[in-house]
Amino acid sequence: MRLAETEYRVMKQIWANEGITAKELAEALRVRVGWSKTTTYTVISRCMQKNYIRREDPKFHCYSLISREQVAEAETDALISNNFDDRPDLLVASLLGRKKLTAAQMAELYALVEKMDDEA
Amino acid sequence: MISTLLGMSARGGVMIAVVALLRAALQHRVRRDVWLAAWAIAALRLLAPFSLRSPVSIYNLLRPAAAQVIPVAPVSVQAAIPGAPAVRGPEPLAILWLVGALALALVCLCLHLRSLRRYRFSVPCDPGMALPPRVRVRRLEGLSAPLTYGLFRPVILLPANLAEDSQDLTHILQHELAHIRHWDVGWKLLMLVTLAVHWFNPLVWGMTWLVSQDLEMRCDAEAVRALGDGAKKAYAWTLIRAEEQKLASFLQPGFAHSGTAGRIRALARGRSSAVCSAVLAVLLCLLLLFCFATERVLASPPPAADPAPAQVIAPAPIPAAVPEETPEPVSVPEPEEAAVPEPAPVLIPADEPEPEPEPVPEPEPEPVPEAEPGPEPEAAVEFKQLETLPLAVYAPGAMSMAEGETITVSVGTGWVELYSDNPGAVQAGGVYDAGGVFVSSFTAGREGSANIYYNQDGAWLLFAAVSVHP
Repeated sequence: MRLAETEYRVMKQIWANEGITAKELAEALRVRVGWSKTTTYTVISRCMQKNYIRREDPKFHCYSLISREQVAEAETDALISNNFDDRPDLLVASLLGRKKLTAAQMAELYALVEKMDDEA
Repeated sequence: MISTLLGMSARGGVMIAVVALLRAALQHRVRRDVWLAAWAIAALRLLAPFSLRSPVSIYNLLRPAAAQVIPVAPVSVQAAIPGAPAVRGPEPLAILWLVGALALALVCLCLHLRSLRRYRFSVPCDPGMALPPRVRVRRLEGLSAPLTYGLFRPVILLPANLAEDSQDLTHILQHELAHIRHWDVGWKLLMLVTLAVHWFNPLVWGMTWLVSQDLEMRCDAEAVRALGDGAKKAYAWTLIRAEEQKLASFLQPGFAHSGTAGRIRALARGRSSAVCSAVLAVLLCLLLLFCFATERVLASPPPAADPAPAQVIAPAPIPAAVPEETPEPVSVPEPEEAAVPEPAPVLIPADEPEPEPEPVPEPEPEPVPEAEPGPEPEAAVEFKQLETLPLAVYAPGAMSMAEGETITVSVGTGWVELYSDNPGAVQAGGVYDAGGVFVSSFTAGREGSANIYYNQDGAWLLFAAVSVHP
């Protein structure tokens, strides 16, 4: 699932601090992005409606119901679909070609591909 | 009160038309500030309820009768008995205007508040350049075009899909900063107030649009100047790209929602000299201030202010004769609620105003010093054949009015101009044609005393000496 920017900011805080109370969340976001308490609470309730967040009382603790990986996957799929014509290899080629990867990362990638080859 | 408003609106409209014409001819030769200065004067004219008289006023060209006959539908003209009381309730036109004005203000306020609620969800954004201290830059997802809101702590709001450190960003920021430097949100507020007051005048709507255009174009010019030579073309491309996503909003001067085609044209053609602009600005403002914002001077100066009852010609006995002679429209019954009559002097009948004036027994030539000072604000005095009869059917020489009271004078056929030598105390009103009957009026202002003169064959004659009490 793809998140709006507001929801993403809230989820980032929760992923970093599972079980954070809504009050602490509001304070953290006030510092980071300048949102008022009402604004944060509104976004939290939107996230709850969409089942991104689970609420635990008595103190309004927030737990995530979706994972970082799920969100990243959805975004990547959209990226590939919109910008690379549904071809993941074009995305990788783009990353390689634009020298966005360090030598260590490239080695890691290479090893991954090798492993997939073996499994396949 | 409505007549004052209509007068202001009409004169404002004339000014708007003049400025718009000049602007259409000259706008690409001079700086935008010229037109904005002119619009400021027009807004002043539209909002200020007074005006000075000047011999160079353009309205001196108008024939008095033509200038002053204003068809007013629900004019309540009382029957012939002098002093017959009737309460002037709130004019229906005034109520209609108030409803329109409030509705417009309310709608704009609601739209603005709704927008502000949406903007709360913005996140900070790095502008990539130095900014004045109070200005903040933020990014909002779903925003279609950049805008600026806030008068004292301005916020520049950018669409989320604007790439940071792109050329578009720099252009947009320069443009919005120019808006902030010139307090353009204040301009928008001024236009809103003017529009709320003059919502019925299409020329004022036109002015609002032209002012928006001029504000945007001025900021375009400034942004391009700040960006340096050769930036014009790139800036124009930014405008075109932004045109694709428009956000319509009234109180927030934005980037793409004001006639982009016109703005690009202005960029392309603008070749302005600062000196020419300054000269034209000064000339135009002087012209507007002295010729279009002023009133015409009166026909001839009145005699020295000297309440001399002896000057008043003893009026002929009227009341008995008048009912028969009264033309039909004059005896229109009072549409508003009738007043509760005070224990009145003999002059005033003690019951509801009726369509047929009763033959009141008292002969009015007897000098009754005090007219009815009670709550009834309106009394009508009728006379006919202005050329031969004097106006003063009222108690000759002296009249007392309460602050805010208005006396309506029906003048039969023809027209009469009333003049007060103390407009602070008594303001003489214009002439109105209510279906064939001409009506004039004067209204008591603050406490004081005044003489009212009427003009007959070029000579000023005393109509009444009025004392105004609170």
